[in-house]
Formats: sequence, structure tokens, C-alpha cells
Amino acid sequence: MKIFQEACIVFTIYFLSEVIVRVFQLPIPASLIGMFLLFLCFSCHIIQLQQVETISNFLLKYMSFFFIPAGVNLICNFDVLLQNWFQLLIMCTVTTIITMAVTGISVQKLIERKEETE
Amino acid sequence: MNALDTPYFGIVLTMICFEFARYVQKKKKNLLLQPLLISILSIIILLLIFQIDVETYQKGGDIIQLFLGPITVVLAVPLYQQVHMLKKYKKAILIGIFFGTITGIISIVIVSVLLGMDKIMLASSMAKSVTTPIGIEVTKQLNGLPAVTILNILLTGIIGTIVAEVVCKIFKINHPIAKGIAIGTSSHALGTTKAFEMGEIEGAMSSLAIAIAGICTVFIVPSIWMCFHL
Repeated sequence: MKIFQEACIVFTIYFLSEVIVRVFQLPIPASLIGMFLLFLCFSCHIIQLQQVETISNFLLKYMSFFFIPAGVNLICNFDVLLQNWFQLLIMCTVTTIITMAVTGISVQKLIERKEETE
Repeated sequence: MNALDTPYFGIVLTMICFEFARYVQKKKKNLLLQPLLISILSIIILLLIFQIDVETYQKGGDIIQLFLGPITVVLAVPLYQQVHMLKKYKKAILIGIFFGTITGIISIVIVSVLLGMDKIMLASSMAKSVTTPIGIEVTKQLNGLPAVTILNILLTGIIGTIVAEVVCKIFKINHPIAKGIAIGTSSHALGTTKAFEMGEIEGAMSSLAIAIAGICTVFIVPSIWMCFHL
């Protein structure tokens, strides 16, 4: 019965966020609004972590399963892919290293500064 | 192929291929053998061999995709579990992720232009460092190809896992919080598996970064997109 209640909570939150996006015509993905809503519910102690624990562990563990159909659509973009695979590979490698380095260095510098002032 | 004209075809095929892919990954521990990658490839190959329309498959596929929304919603769980860390180092973490995300997105634009990629490929690559449900949403807003975004996100994740240790060493990133945030911001959930191998704090910080980098991306990408195409 617990998993049913958990699913009910998560799906209701997601449904509400889709409604919110439609009503206010927000340019933000509904799923992100849902994430905010759930976080807010945790912070205000309306929902306890344990009340959605099983379903979130399940969804996060098997997350990749739910992306398979979207990936299969690559079949429709085969020609674009054939033309661009090398550029995509280079682009992903270079930008991943840049993002990782810049983020890491900034966080580290800011932490060091904080610890020095303390 | 009228006999397969039921949503259950797509659902069952996806489940079987995913189980197969997880079995392969358990047998051979190789980074390139991501279950998602193997599943997508095996389904594409099967559809091509048996000449089945992708529309027939997507009758079931669409139902599976309905769960992408709720998956993003439950990302709030790891975020809330790490909220004490976030409170303690909020300035360093938030500024670091914001700065890293914005630099990352600008570097995507610059590298794509240098490589001569066209507009639709750029639109499908802008949100490649974030978790897939958010990446797909952003790509849809830019009229890109969500399937290409998924490929980019997968590539980014795999590359991130491979380069993480070297990048941290070269740029002397040795604080566990900085390492975790850097990995999560640049290579989402796939990178996070690597961060957990490095340590408990690294992993926790990496999961925290997925959610925050996702939020930043949703707001930064459309603004940068507008700047470059006004």
C-alpha cells in the first residue's frame, strides 16, 4: 500500500505543476516546478522524506530506462548524426573539461576564502 | 506489421532490452557499456532488421516517456537530503555552479561555431551537461532534436566519468566538495556514479549539483540563445 501512496503524492505534484505552467503560461518545464514544489513541501514539513522514499529510490535508480524511447528516435535523425558525429564528440569532450575545471576551481577558491576568514 | 500495433510491443521490447543491457554491463564492467546506450542501439537494430516502423514502437515508448516528469520531481529528494551542506557552503556552491554552468554553455556555443555546426545541432547541444529530463525540455523550447540531446548528454556523462580524476589533478581541485560539485555540474548523474567512487561527500555534492545546475541551465540557456540570435 505504501508504494501506491508514494506514487500518488509524486504524480499529484507533477500534475499540479503542469496545471500551474498552463495557467500562468510559464516558460519553465513543469517538471522543474514540480521539483520546487516537492522541495517546498519537505522544507515546510508538509511531506516527510520517508513518505516518498521508495518511489524516488526506484525512479532514480532506474532513471535511464525511461530515456530509452527518446533515444530510439535517433533512428529518425540518422543522416544528421552521420554528418555531425565527429563534431559532437569533440564538442562534448572539450566543453565537459572546461565546465568541470571552471566549476571546480571556483568552488575551491570560494571555500578557501571562506575558511581563511573564519 | 499490424500484429504489433499495440502499446505493449514498445513497452515489452524496451523492458527486455534494458534487462539485456544491464546483464551485459554486469558481465563486462566497461564504461562505454552504459545500459541506456546498449538498450537504444539494440532496439534501433531490431527495428531496422524487422523493418518495424518507429511509430509502432513509440506507441509504447510514449507511455514510458510519461514518467520523465515525475523523475525530475523526485530529484528534490537528494537535494533535500544534502540541504545542510548547501546551507553551510551556500555561497561557494551556488556561485560555483552558476559560474561553471554559464561558462560551459558559452563554451558550447563557441566550440560549435568553430566546428561549423549548424543551428539545429547547436540547439540540441546547449543543455547537454544536465540531467536528461531537463535537457529534453530545454531542447524542445529551442526547437532542437531531443534525440540528439540524449546522445550528447550520454556522451558528456561518459566523457565526464573518464576525465574526472585527471581534470581534478591537473587543475589541483582537491577539496571533496569542489570535486563533487564540479563533476555533478559538468556530467550529471553518470558523473555522479564516479563521484561516489571517489568518496561519500563527493557523491552527495555531485547529486546536489545535478539539481542546481539543471535549474541554472533552464534559465541561462534561453537567455544566451536569445543573445546570439537577436
